[in-house]
Amino acid sequence: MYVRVKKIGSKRYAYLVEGVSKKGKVRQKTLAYLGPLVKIATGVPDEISRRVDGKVRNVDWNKINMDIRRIPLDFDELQEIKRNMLPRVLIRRQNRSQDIGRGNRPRVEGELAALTIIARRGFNEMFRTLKDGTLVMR
Amino acid sequence: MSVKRTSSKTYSSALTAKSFISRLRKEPNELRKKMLLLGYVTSRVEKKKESVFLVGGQAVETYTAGQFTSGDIDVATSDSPSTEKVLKSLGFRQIGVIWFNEKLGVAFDIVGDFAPERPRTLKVGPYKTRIVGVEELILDRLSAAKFWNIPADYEKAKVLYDNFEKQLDKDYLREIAKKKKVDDLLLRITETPWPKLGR
Repeated sequence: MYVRVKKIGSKRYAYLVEGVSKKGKVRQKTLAYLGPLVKIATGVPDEISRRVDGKVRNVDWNKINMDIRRIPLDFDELQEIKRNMLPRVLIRRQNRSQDIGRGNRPRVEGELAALTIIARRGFNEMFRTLKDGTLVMR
Repeated sequence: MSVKRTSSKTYSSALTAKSFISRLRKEPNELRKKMLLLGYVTSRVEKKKESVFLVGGQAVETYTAGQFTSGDIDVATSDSPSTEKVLKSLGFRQIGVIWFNEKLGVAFDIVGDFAPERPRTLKVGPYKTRIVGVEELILDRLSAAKFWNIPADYEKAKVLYDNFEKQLDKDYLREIAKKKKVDDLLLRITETPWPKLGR
């Protein structure tokens, strides 16, 4: 059992398929539709896996999710995933439960010193400061 | 680091919301895109003699040229209803307390109706917006580090202090730090040097 991706129009869709031997040839048999690739790229959501489990027995979701994560995404798909994920990330960030991405870990020695220099250089390249303190973005 | 940008002639304060958004979508630099958007929102809100101020994580991102990224654009405004009306006209929809524009992949968080004490003007293209001063931002991050227990905010305060040290009003910084009970952390960031780079 594995994942097959079909391109329809400009979008890609994922299907759960299995290889079936027919007259000495191996054919793909579609078992279930998983959804648009951008919606399952970070893992098949519970509501989809529950629906598929109702139709197909013994699905190894760990393997399926690993297969999906190995599918290379194009730029537009990544942008769409980012847009879909943003509200969820923001709600988590608002709860201040953790600093998303770093898990609240302090940086290693030297990392922040380097970051300070990069930030200073970047700011000076991006902005000009006038005498009255006004910042002008270049 | 070169700053990719579209020509400032592309934008003008007379643009309709629809044509502004379609031009903004072509903006290659994320930080500039957010600043232009904020500038446009500010110009529309200021027509009603009200103000919008960039605060919080997006202000840190701006002062650190994107080294500390923020998901949403935190703003304080003197008039939330007017600001929300402008955001709606730009295609933003409300999710919880966040205003989100799917096409742009940008979210606004109106954190409150207040004005920072020492805002700075920020010019981007034909627009002007206002950003919280570095002093207030440092104090805000120190408070978050101490009272919300967020160590990453201490790091942000330290980077801001080191990069803007010469421009800071240190008397003001010390006075308000004492009031906010973060004078101990302020002392720490002023006295702790970074480890030296290289051998």
